[in-house]
Order: sequence, then structure tokens, then C-alpha cells
Amino acid sequence: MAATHSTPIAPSEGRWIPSTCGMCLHGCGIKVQVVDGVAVKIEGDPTNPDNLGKLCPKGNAGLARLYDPTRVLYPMKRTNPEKGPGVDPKWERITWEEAYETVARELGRVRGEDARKLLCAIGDFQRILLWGWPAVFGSPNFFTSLGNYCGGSYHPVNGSVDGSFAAINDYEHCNYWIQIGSGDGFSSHLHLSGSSKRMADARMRGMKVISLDPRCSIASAKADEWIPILPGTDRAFVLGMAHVLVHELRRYDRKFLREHTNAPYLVDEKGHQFRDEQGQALVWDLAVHEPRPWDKVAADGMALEGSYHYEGRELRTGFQVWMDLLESHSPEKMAEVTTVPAATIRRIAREFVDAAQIGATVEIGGKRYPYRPAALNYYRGSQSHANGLFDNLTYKLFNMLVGNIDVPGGHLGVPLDHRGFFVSPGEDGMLKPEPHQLHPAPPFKYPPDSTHLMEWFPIGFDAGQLNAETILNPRRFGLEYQPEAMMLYHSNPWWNMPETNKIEEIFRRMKFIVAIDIHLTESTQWADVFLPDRTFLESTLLNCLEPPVVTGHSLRQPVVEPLGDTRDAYEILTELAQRMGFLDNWNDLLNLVCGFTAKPRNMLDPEKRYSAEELFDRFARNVYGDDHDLDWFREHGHAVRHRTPEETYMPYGKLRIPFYFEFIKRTGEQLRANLEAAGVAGWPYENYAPLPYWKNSRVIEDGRRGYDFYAITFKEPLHTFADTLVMPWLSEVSEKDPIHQGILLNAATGKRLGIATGDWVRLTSPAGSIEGAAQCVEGIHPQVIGVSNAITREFVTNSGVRAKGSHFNRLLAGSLDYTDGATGGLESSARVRVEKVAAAGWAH
Amino acid sequence: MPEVRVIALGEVRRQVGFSQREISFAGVTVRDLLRAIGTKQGGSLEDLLVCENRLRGDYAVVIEGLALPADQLERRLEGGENVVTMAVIRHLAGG
Repeated sequence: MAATHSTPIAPSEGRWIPSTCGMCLHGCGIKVQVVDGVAVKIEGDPTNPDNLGKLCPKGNAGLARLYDPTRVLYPMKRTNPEKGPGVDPKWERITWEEAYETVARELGRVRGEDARKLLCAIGDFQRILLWGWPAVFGSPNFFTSLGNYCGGSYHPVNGSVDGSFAAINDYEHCNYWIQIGSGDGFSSHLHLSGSSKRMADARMRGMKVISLDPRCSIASAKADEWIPILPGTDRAFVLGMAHVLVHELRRYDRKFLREHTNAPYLVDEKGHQFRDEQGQALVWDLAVHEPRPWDKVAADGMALEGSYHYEGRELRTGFQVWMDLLESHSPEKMAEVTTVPAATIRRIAREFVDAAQIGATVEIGGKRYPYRPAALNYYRGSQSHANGLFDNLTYKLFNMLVGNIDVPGGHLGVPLDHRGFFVSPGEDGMLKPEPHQLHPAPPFKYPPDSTHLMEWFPIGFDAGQLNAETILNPRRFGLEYQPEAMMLYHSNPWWNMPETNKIEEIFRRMKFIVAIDIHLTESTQWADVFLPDRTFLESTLLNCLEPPVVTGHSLRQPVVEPLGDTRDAYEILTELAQRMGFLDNWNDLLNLVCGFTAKPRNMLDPEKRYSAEELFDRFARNVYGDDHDLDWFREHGHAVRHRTPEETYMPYGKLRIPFYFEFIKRTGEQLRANLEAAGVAGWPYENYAPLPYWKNSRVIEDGRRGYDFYAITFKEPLHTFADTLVMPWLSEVSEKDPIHQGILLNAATGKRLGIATGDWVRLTSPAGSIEGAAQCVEGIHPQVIGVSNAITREFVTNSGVRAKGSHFNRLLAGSLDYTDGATGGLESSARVRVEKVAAAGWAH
Repeated sequence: MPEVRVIALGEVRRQVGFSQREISFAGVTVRDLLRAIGTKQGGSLEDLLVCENRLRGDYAVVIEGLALPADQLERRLEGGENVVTMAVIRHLAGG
């Protein structure tokens, strides 16, 4: 530091530099006070309409990341060949030249033999433009569960429904908000700082919130009503409500379903869309009582319900097919699954449909829209399960029943970035489904190239948890090679993947590991070479990721001179690409993913090196025009604005969205044909279904094997993944809250089991076991055990942070049995046995 | 003769020897354009990218941001359109 102060620093001292927070992926606008070259304060930028001047605890703690005394500030190499948890790598400082030479030599050797032998773990969401580096290296492997943990099934379904990446209820117009397994607007997920303000404003004007969660989360505690529910059964609750709307109340938005979805399209006996000889999807024409092409019948002339005999065929509308499925999902049946009383399911369903005001309209910006001020919002807790596709489809369909998708008051798609919804016409007047928004759909291949079997998930995400299954059982999947090198780029797969013991075995097999990061973690302590990156306060990029109500980029810019001898990750990857001889392909990939190919004058010369500043200067001008170059952003900080009503509400116009997901069924049939032709048996195809229903998952089945309890993990706004758990400020705040002090169990359950707060308990699942101090509380379902992610780090370098040693992921299984066969989504809850190991105060 | 801007990425760039270029060509379709561009192998880009009257599965042609369906080589090109040619990036993962 250039100077020290013994007196408080006034806001008027030094200068305030606009920038973008990098403490989570979403990037709130910030301004940083810099005095004598030292960053002394971070505040939210009030000019940024995304976070409205607000900043969460992580953002406030950003300085502690920059000035963390345990940060790695120089390139280092390991001198101890022995590796493992707790083993001192005996790091030795080296020059960048030696570091680059070593990494290029080792990775270059792998690339020369078989580039697929490199496992890449990438977790730097804000620098998502760099995620294609492994592809130009030649490796398809994605060795992390970071995104898949939450979004494995969520993102493909959002993309398939309306070309969005995420979703959120309409803060501005919603009056009745059902929140299922999500912290949106309260504690986590989309742009929390601004969303909390929007949620608070909505509550002030009277919006009602119902929260379903196994634990009395922050959202539940602040909601009008908390409904405790068993993990992984949220879908059953919603199916029960759908049953009430469709079979008991018969209240649903027929106009929306006919005009804006394929619900009236006819389906044949095998579940396929019924088509004419030209391949046109057919509907039942109520006027002439026979099938006619969908575009030849006015919406109000289409049958929405009904079964029809036609020339020896048995036909039903897509809507009728779901109606028939829902018949067996009465509130009484679903109450048995969820433990939520049937009367509650009925009451919430009625309140929801009453609040939805089916048929109402509203004028916004001179245009009249349907007005549906009731919506169901959801995220990880309710759908990161082995039947995650069904979970997500159920929630979308339930919203569709009241016609609230992408209309004021309803459930709104959130685009991946500034490009907005992915909108292009598909078949039969439909919006083209876009389940893959981060990369092109992987074509089928056998034997597979990737260790996470991406070629076998045609509508899925990247199922990182399957790495262990394939690498340790290569013959089962036809994997032809064994990985031998690993690149860790701001990712901690040892921590974020299930079945830690198996992941550790893979780490042991690596001949070479390189880490690009800012600090040591459970994973990077295995590295042979550590390349120190710069923090968000020392580096440059333009960020726009999953903005719920705004669009446009904000600039991350250096506010201080970089500490130590660090380099920007982009420049590290570029240097390595050049040394290994694929700089031209790297630049070509950037030309593509940055959108430069659409404006060729901004394209990078394939043979030339560019700095991060040069890259993002082109990026800025490419998106906003030459009058918005990097200097413009340096001065103004951001180009963030509210999305317009046209960009927000049904931006796909008259294109229909799917209600009956035939393309999922067809995709599964093609995959089955491909895998069976390849001789692969035992693949789980069941979730390639056009409509969701209730079926037990493996986790529920595990309950019959003596694992009486459910275990869940949860996080609060203090933390981002594992990343911030090593920061003393945030760790200290976490530790002041009892829910982060131990393993949560319901007080009545504790009493029944003879367990009191402070007793040492062991949780054992089919996959592994963990131990910790019991914390008996009222706010958790009696059959559920809660493990905060704030107590799960096992390796920390900062003396201000305690290693608490209860790594939840050790309880999770990462096998196919616990994976959604269609999306690759992983199961994020587990069944466990609970036993008391020692009474409070006894050594253990 | 329409003039379009052709952008070549990766392996296709190495084959045609340029990264981007304005090209006037005889004809009006995508196939005509591909036929007009020579490669280092001695043939044309059509020889490289087309098989049995379809765009080969391992290559992509993107016109004004939209991927050309494999069977639409007879699509007419308008002057000033932006045509990106590249090998399909098979290994992109992440999420």
C-alpha cells in the first residue's frame, strides 16, 4: 500500500472510480474510492439501474479480496511431488517466463498426444467469453459442477420455452408470488442487490409471498406464509395445484393456451404431434369436426380439450394429454408425497388463480397486454434434482395455465446477456427451442469425446458430476482415453462436485495441473504451477449476465495498480495459446463469441496479440457503436438501462411457446436409436417425456433403505459458491448466525433422537458421511437436515477463517442414478442417517 | 454479380488463405459463392464444405447471424450480406 491513514477517510478524499463488482457472477455497478493509490471503500453505483446503488455483503467485502494477505501474487511452482489434502506443496516463486514455459511444454505435450486428455475446470462466469479456450486447445472436457449444480435442468428448459436463460416473476406488477426453493429477491440468485429492493417495493405495495422450502430460509422468514415441504417434492405440490385448477376449479387461461402455445395441437397414440402429409401440425377444428393445419384455424375455433377418433386414429390435444396425466395427482395423493396438507394445496391453488385475474389486460407504454399478476418463481432447491427436467416443466406449465408467461405481472424470461431472448421461428408456428445457449448443441458421438458425456445430452447442460463415473469406469461408456492433465481456472472442482473421494482419485491421477486463480483452494493446492490472476479491482472486462430487468454492459476497470506480479486471465490464456501454436484459432473463437463476425471491421487479426483493453474496446464498439468505446465506459461506468416493455413482454411476438414438449420426446427417441446402435445399454431415457408427472426419484427410494432423513445445503447472500468462504469478514458475519454454526435439525427431531445443540453428529448417505455440531432449530422440516455451505470449506489459508470440515458434497452421489437423464442436472439433496457421535463438550 | 463479405474462421481460414474479404462472384446462391472461392488444396470451398448436395455436418455457413440449414445451398445471397464459414466447434463446453 502506498500510504496508511490513522484517521477516518472522508468521502471527499481521493477519487471515486466507477466499476463493476466481481464478487459474484452478476456484476453490480460500483464506485470505488481510491486514496493515494489505495482502494478504501466500495459502494453501489446509484446511476446503475440494475442495483440502484445497493450492494450486498459480498460486494462490500470486495476490498478484502484485493488486499487479502493470503492472495497469491507471484507465479509459483510446486516442489513437493507428493500431493493430497493437507500436504504442503512447498511452493517456490518462479518467473512468468518459467511458468509459461513449463505450462506450455506440459500442456503442449498432452495436446500433441491427444488434446482430450486435458480436463478443464472453468468457473469465472463474468469472463464467460474465455470459456471457449479448452475447445480451441482441443479438449471437450468440463470438469466442474459449478453451473450444473443449480442450472443443469433450469437453463435448458428456460431456453426451450421462450428462448430465455433464466426467469423471474415480474417485480413491478406481480401481486401474488409463489416462491419455491429460491432466494430470488431475498437472499440469492439473479442480481440480488437490486432484486431485494424490487422485492421490498413490491411487498410495500401489498404483494403477497408464499414460500415453499424445507427450511425457513430468508425468503420463508419474510414471506406471508412459509410452507415446509420435503426436498425434491415441490413438483408434486405444484402438480397437485395444477390438478385443482384443471379438474376441480376448471379455471385456466383458454385464450392464452390456444393463441400462444401448442396446447391445442393434436397428439397421436404414440405421443407424437399428429401431422398432415405436408408435415403440418394439426388441430381439431370445432367448426368442421376434423383435423386441420394449425394455421388454417382461428384460435377460438381450435379444440383445447378433448379426445377424437379420426380415420381409425385416437387423437388428443396436448392439453388433454396433460389433463389426463393430472387426474391421478389429486391434492390428497400429492400430500402423501410432500407432507403438505391437501387443504393447503387447494387453498394456495385457489388464491393463485384468483390473483391471476385471467382475462384482464393492462396498457403499458401505449400497448395493451394480458395482465396476470400471479406467478410461481423457483430455482435450485426446487429443481436441482434427478428429475429436474420434470420439475422445471411442471413449474412452467403451471404458470402457463393462468397465461402468465412473459406478460405483465407474470413469470418473465431473463436473457443470458445483452442479446436478449434467442428468438427464431421453429416448426409449426413455434418459437425455436434453444436449450443450449452457452455453446452449440453437441452432436452425438460414440465413443464419446468428453469425460462428462456431453455428446449424450442433446438438450442438456454439461453434467460435470459424470466425470467421476466415466473416468473411473471408462469401459462402461466407451471412453477411449484417460485424462492426465488439468487446468483449474477460478474453479474448485474438488469442492463443487459430488463424491469428493472419487474426485480426489482423479486429482491423484493427473500428471500435471495448472491453476489460474487468485488464491489457494482445496483444488489449487494440487497444482504443479500456479498462475496468479488479477482481482476484479485490477482487471478489465465488460459484463452483462442474466440481468432480470435491465440490459447493457457495465465496465470492470482497474482502480488500483495490480498487486504483486499478476497477469489478467485473458492475457494468460492468450499467451499460452500463442506458445502452443493456436493463437489464430483462439482469436477466431473470440471473433465468433464476441459477435465480431457480424461487424467484420471489429474482427481480431488471427495472428496478432491483443490486450484485454484492446479486446473490450472492440467489444464495446461492436455492441454500442464507435461513440461508446472503452474510454466512454471508463468515464461513465456502464451503459445499463431498463429493458423496454417490447424487450420484456413476449418479445417473440406471435410465435407460440411449447406446452406439449414433443421435441424433447423426439430428441430422446433419436438418442436411444444412437446409443442402442452403439451398443450402450442402461441409459436413462425416461425423462425424455413431452409432459411432466410425478414419479419417485432415487433419493426418495433411498429412504426405504434406512436413510430416514433428507439432507439439503443452502446459502445466504454472504457467499458465492465456495469462493467467498475463505474471506475473514464474511466468514465472521456468517459465524454470528446460528444457522451457519452447525448441522441444522428440527428441535422436535433432536429431542426424539436424544440430540441437543452442540452434540457432535454424523450424517451418512449412500455416498459418504460428514460430521459436525448439531444445531437444533424450529425452522426446518422435521425430516430434513440442513447443512449451510458456509461451514463446508475444508482447506483455508487465511488465519482469520476457521476450517469447519463438514463438506456437504461428500453426501451427494454423482452417478447416472442421481442425474437427470435428459438434462444432466444433478441431484442436490441426499437421504441420510443421523447418529450422535458425542455429547456437547466431549472431544471428538 | 452480388458482392458479399466472406469471413473464414479456423480451418476454413487456413484453406482459403484469408480471414475476411469482399467477394463478387458469378451466380446468386450460396453454392455459387462457395464454388467461386478457391482453397489451398486446389479445389473450391464447395469441394470442402459440400457433400451429396448438403453442407457437411462438420462445417457451418452463417449468413447474417443465422446458420444455413444443410439442405439450403441454393439460398440466394443479397449484395452486402455477411457470410461466415467455419468448421463446427465441436468441443465447446461449459455451464
